[in-house]
Amino acid sequence: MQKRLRIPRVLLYLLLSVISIVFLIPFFYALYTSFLPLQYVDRIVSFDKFTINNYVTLFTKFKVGRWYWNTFIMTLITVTGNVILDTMAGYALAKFRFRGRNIIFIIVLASMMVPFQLIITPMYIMIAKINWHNTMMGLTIPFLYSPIYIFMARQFFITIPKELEEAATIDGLSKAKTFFKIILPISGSIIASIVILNFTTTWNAYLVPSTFVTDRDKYVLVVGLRTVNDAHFARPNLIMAGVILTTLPVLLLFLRFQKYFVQGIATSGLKA
Amino acid sequence: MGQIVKTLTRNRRSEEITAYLFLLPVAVLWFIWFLIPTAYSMFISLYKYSFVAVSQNHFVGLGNYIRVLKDPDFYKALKNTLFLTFVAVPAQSLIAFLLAIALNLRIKFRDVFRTIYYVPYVVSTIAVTTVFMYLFVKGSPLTRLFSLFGLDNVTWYVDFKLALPFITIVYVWQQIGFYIVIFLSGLQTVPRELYESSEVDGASPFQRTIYITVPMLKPVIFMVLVYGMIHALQVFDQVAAVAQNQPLGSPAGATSTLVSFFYVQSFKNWEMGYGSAIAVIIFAIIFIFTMIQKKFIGNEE
Amino acid sequence: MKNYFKKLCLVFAVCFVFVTLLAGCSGTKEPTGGSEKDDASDTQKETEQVEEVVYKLGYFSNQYDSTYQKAIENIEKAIPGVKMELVFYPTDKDYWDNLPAHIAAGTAPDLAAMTNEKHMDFISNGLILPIDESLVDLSALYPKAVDAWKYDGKLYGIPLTAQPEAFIINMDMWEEAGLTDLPETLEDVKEAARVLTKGDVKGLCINNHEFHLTQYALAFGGGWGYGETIDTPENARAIQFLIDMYREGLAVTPKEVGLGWDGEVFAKGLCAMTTGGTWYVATLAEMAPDMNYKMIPLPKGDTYGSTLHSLAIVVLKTAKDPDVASKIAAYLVRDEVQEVAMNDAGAPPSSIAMSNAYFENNPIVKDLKPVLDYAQPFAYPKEGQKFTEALIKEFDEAIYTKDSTKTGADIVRNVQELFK
Repeated sequence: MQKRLRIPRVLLYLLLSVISIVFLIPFFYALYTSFLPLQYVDRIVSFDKFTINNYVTLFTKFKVGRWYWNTFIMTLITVTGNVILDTMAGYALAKFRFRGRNIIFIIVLASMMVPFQLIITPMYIMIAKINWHNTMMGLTIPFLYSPIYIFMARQFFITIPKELEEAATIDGLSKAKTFFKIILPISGSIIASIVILNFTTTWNAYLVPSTFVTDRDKYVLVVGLRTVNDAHFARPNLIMAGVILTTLPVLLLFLRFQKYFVQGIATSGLKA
Repeated sequence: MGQIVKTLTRNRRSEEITAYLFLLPVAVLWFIWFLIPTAYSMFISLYKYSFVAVSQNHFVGLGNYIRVLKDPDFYKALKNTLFLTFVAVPAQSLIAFLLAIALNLRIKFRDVFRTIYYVPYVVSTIAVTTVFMYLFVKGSPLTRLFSLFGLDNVTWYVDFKLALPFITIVYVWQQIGFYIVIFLSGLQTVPRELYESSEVDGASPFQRTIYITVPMLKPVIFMVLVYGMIHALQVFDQVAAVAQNQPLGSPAGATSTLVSFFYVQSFKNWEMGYGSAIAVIIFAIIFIFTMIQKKFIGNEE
Repeated sequence: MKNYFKKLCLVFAVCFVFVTLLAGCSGTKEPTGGSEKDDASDTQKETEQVEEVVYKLGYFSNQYDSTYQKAIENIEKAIPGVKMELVFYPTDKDYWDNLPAHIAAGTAPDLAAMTNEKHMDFISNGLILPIDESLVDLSALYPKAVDAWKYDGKLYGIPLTAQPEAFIINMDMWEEAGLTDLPETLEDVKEAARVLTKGDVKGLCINNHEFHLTQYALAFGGGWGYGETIDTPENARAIQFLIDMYREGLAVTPKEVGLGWDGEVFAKGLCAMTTGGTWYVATLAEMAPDMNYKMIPLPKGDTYGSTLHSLAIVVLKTAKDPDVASKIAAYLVRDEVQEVAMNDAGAPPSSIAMSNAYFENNPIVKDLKPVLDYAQPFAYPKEGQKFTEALIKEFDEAIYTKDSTKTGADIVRNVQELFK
């Protein structure tokens, strides 16, 4: 197997590396700018002009530490909720037979077609009515599920051969037990997908946190970092430092979770 | 025989109940936090409604909808959005698919490569757009390169013809990471034995992809295309990032999209009723397109 | 994976409980902008038995943090029964975009800091309430600044700052090009631009933002007249002047060189001259500390023109008691607050005495003082947002399209159409 791809393999690495560099350009720009004093932004300077002042300023003059914590909690809760609720819903839609299954699936799809900006105002009014604004509840509870991950989970579970479940049923497991004991353990890659993607979108979310939370202490990272600009001029160096601070945790999470994108053991059980 | 039927129906019923239980948490959340706000918004679309000038709110029936269909800005936004969608969806799907396959091979530094390819999706849209604006400024190396192909040497995002392609490029560039993750995840469900046995049969990598990967990935491909279209038809973030403190859709509507048009009416002009009507129409457009797409792509299983 | 899932459920349950408890504690209190003040006002309420109402002031831009904190100090002594809190918004965009929702939900502030550019939108929508002038003492403030907030005979805000517009010249480039006398008319500016435009550097930066377009309109004797006088020969000439500069290759907009606003263009030396204001002082101190520059009034077109830019405290329609709010507004712009604004935010004060001091003590802006005598309001039409979008759209079409034949007259005519 190795022999056939030997020459193309080198080409492959080359291609992947070139594309990598292209993909990393904004990141490098952000990284570079985050170490510059304001007057050197957008210029090429030698390393001795570099400073970590921008990062220091963010943590001292602004409440970046606090915002990190807020974002982390919000994301943790939201992702956990999504992993549990969306896989359950997706599995039901994929593997159960029940009345209304198709309608519910269409509703899930249709829910993605409503521009979110439309409902954020009524949502805020509802949130404010129950005093959930400026609270973690308001930021998390309405978002513990997402149609897209339900959709994704459904598609994923469809590909799991039904022989697996039939075997479980024969062994006397109920449908629910089958899900928790048999299916989930081999669903590493879909769970990883939901974790990675939901973490990213929640962590980077701006619209909801900026509308629902107006208390500076309770800001989320992205919202807080918007405040580092002054009224009249932007501070790209601080902004880019903020971008790096925002991006790194997500990348670390990705690195950790993409390990689950390996061949599942779904099929090995079938041979027996 | 009756006994078997009874057991089967009992099982079927308990299966139904279990299904409903599985869906219950999501259903409750959906009802409260999606259905109610959406219904409320649709209700408002029948009014001239503003949260600000409350005294002037009054019922207009379908007046808002008629106004949308007569609004040239709407059609401009629609045209732009369709252009972006029909370029972005195929492009991002194909590129993400190919890259996911490459990232699924057993290569060195695979973890690192995967992370790098995910970076564009993670970096905030504003940062990404800023960098792209640099790259496409008049006189930059990239702009000059493109001018060799007959394009003017101008700053792309202020040029009436190039602003929308600019946004499309930024959008596709960012979205690829998302779809790579989805494809990667899906690729794991293809049993390795299929590849191995086909190799024994003498299939080339290209054939393996066409005849094994694609069919096995049909549900995932279906999702990528459907969701890709739904999402592309709602592009907003890149438009806002390019406009910065100028009116959305600058220059002069060349980059306006359906959702940015909605946003301007609702939040800048404070016409919530009109905005809601626009959103309902957007929904209808997306719905129709999705149904058409579903027909074309056919069965997903 | 199974264990992992169980762990996840456990984490979720724990977090849920934890968060519920937290939320329970904060959810029962009044929605606030600062929890410590909450405690203070609660206990004070109990011990004093005085009817105390909390008024909220909304603002954006952390530059003004210290200013507004100073502003609300000791409000209880000045106006008994009133306590104040600050509500901060990350950007002005967030503020205006979210305000309707906050109003509808009842969480909007009572007062707000606002500039006199788009305030007409809010006035025409009834979002800002007129201030009863008999309740407040405006004698110490610049009459022109107060006028900037008057409309239809009523006062809609109490000014904190009074900023004249400025024309800024990069003296390093000026002298290097061999120019000596400073420009007195806009024709001089054009001549100078021809000399100063070299390579990547353009003579004049014209930010395609309504603020800058208005300066030129006023300099040609025009003005928008709250929508009545958009289509006039004077305005047409002003816009034409700008278009001509652009088409001759003497001007640049910030956007097309990838920058956010004119200050950045100027600081990076991509233009030799630009319109602007006193905020340039702080910008240039940070971005181009070594630059030699000069600030003068905008050179004459047919006349001397400038806008009076003013930040003021306004009373929103959501105010609990508009009369009380009016008094609060007056209190919030007192001298000591203006001093903080001047020192920390670099804004010229609206009080006559302090303004004089400001110009005396800052040589770089000294020449701008006379501008305050002829500065005018922006006078955008009531539907300010609609106006600015239409104006900029027309202007963009004229300058960004290669072979555009659009003239200033076309532009002002088209825009006037929307405001018949």
